[in-house]
Amino acid sequence: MIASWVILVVSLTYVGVLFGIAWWGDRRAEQGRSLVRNPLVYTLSIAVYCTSWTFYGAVGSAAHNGPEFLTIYLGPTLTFLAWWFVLRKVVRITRAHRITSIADFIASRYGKSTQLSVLVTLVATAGTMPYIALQLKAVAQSFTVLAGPDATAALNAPLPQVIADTAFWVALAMAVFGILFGTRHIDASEHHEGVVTAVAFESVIKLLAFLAVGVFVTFGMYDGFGDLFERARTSGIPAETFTLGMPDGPGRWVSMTLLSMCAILCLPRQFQMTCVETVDERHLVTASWLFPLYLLIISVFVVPIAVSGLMVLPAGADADAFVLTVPLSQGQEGLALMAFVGGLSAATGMVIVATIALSTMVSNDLVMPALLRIRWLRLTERGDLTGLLLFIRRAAIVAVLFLGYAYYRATGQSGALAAIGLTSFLAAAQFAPAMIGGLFWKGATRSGAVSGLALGFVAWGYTMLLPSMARSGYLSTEIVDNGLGGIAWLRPESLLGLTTLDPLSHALFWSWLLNIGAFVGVSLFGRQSPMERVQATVFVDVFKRSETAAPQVWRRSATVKDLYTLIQQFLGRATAHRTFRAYEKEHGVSLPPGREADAELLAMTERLLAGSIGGASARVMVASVAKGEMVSLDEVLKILEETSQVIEYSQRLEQKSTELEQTTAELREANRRLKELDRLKDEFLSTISHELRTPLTSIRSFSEILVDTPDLGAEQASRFLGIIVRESERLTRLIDQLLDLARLQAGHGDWAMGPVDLDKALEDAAAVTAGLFNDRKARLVLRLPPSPHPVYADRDRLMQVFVNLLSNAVKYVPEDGTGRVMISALPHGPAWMVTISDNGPGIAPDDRDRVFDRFVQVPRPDGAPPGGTGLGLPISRQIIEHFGGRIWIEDAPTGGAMFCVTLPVTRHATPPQTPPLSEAS
Amino acid sequence: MSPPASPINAQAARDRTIFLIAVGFVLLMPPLILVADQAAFVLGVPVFYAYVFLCWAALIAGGAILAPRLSPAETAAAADTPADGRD
Repeated sequence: MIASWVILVVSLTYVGVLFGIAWWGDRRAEQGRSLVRNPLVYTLSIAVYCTSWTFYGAVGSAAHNGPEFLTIYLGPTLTFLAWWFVLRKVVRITRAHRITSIADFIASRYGKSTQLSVLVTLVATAGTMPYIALQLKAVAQSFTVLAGPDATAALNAPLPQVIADTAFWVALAMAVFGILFGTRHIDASEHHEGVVTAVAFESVIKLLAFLAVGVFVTFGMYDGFGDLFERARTSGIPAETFTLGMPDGPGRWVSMTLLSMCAILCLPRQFQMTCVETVDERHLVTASWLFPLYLLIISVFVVPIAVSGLMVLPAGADADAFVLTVPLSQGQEGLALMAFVGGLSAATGMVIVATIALSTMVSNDLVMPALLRIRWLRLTERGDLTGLLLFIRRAAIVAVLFLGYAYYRATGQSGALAAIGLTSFLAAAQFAPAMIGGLFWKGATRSGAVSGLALGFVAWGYTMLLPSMARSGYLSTEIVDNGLGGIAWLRPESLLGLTTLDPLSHALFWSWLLNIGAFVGVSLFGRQSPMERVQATVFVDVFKRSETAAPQVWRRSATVKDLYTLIQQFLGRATAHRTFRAYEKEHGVSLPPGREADAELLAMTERLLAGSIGGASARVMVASVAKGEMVSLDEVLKILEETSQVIEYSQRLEQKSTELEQTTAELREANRRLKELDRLKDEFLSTISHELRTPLTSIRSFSEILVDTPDLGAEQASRFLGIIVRESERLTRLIDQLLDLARLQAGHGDWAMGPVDLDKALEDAAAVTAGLFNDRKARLVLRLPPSPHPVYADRDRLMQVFVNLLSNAVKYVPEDGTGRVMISALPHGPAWMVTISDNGPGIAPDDRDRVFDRFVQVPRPDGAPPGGTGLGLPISRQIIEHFGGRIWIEDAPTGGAMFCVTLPVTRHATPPQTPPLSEAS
Repeated sequence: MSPPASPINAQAARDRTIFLIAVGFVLLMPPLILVADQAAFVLGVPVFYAYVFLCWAALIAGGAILAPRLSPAETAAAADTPADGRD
């Protein structure tokens, strides 16, 4: 045993340190060097979730109920994994609308309804009382265990006198702490940096204490996890201890996971820490994984402690005290004392935060609205109300704590810690439908939320609270065993004879069934007031609008002086003065007291007040000075519509800008092409000038010779004249072809399209070029199918192409009489293909495309100039492509070049097998 | 901190987060969890605890990797303004 005075000194020192840290945190905040602007501190403050239930109760649960204690941590892990979708939205709304508590959050969502905020406050208070009692009980019992004569003493010793009861003094110390740091002053952001710092500190202490005990047990008493479980097996602890109990195990596993998923959002103290006290939304990024990691680390040693307790302590020892009794049984009094401090920090952290959260709710959502409604108090006409507000909060803190204490004294010994905790969780889970539903479903109405919450609360009381009170001997068990009034199907733990579920799942099922059913059903069949409608939009679309863009639902008027007085009443003269100066500066206006306040100033006043007295009360207060009427539903809808139009407009703008970018890119491409064409044009002009200049130069020089030398011989003169004539002809031909090509390329030119007999055209072309073949002693071979084959073309143009190709071919064949050119025509898909091959030197593959460019000529094998214009092939290609065919070059089987031309059979490209019967003209 | 994610990457991270949550539910809820519900030991540790802690750690690791990528650009804009702080 440890002497009581040692424990007392240690506890008092610890509490003193806690006060010191809270004071330091507040001081740093005042100096503007806030300690809580740190994701680590934020995460640790959320760890207020781990109360003495975790610290002592998890071990007890692991010893008796197997692994189900894990669900209490797995649920929050899953919720935090989904932080981006749910938690971030709650935090954003809380910050944007200066929400002060979960009651305020739910009431604000449903049209700032006072009725709802009162209901939520009542449920939260009823649900939290057992939880606070649980913490006090844990502290008192741990003290008894530590100071008791026998370390293995059961925790169920009779309660001491109030004055000798540790729990009483703990409650008192916590009340002082809450008053000192939770209600130091009224401010519009409801941040308690000192408290957050202290809670973060406590989270470190409880983690370290628990790990110390865990490490001692696992590695001090045993040789690691393997050894521990091996010894457990040999000492007769069944392996079933480490599995889900049957048959209720799986059901409880699911129910508890769901419950704790909701609890981490809906427990008033979690809402306070995670949402209200947030100073920077970005801290969520870290907390989203660091908090689950904290939970994982703190639960690693739960099972080893539980197992070792089962082994080393006599049967019947209270498993909820293993964290203390196991070190004590090994003579480790220092370690036990450390564990006690850890448990104390877990308990005090929870009590402090829960009390502050509840007192805020009680004062903002219960007492203030009531006082404001009592006309004879004339509260709205009084001067400074900050004192009154602080008094209410402080009184609420004391009341909450001592209600908790009374609950603890009343229920006393009964119930394992875990069972009490779950009762609280289920109460908090009743907020989930209204809260989460309201986040995503605009159609949820106030009446739906009220009826759902009320029914769920009643179901919770009947199926969960009632049996637990009966079990603790507070009520007769008659009602649990036989049902209300002896009606069997009203038995609280098997309503309507539903016996297949374990009591917890049963309570969860019925309370949520009624809660969600009423919430959805009443919402679907009810109507929303304009205010609800506005708030629904503001909440659900919080990421789509700017913070202050809440539409104006009130057409109301008040003077600047009225509003100034109002803020001064609740936030003090200094704050009022500062905010109004800031407003003037920001909006570039001056606010003489008698001036009519604009809607924005009214909205700002309401927001500021909401931060200190809650949304519902703030609305009442502002309404008391600002007379006016609510805008009609149509107008509200119009306002909302306008907002959505603005959104739509900006989306359209975005689309337009994308289109603009696209057009710009297209324009840039067009410009690039134009530049390229310009370059080609210049090139063409310079080539053409060159081509024209060559014949002109020779014509001119020979003419000059003829003019300058009159005594030139007749033979010589005639030779020169011949050259001049030839060059002129070449010049004429060049110009003709240029004009022809230009016409073709421009798409002008007269086309007499129609069916043309291919054989006939080829034979005619051969006849025209027969002279050339004779000159070069070359042979022309025609290999044509016997029957006539019409193609769709212009006959003269087609002839022009064939003549050009034939005269080209003959130019390149050998002159020694072996020259040979072959024409053949054969079907080629839905077209005819004509090939003209020669046995000349052929055309290099690289040049095969180039020769279709203007002015490109392939030199003859003997090196002599080819003597053409370089325009024949480009013209031919233009013509063939106009017909819808294609022209290209391949290697001829005879070794030279082979020009291939395809020609469509008809305009509709019918297959060659069914040619039209009409003959070409 | 990781570099700011582009909108496309942020959307991908959000989709992956949804997938991770779904995987978490499947792994930690009946019927799959009942597969691990054996009165047996693996490496000296009860199978059930080994399974749950392994899944749990993996989920946290996945969450830690995805969390900073969900949209730093937007959350950065939502930093506390001085006017919103303590008065």
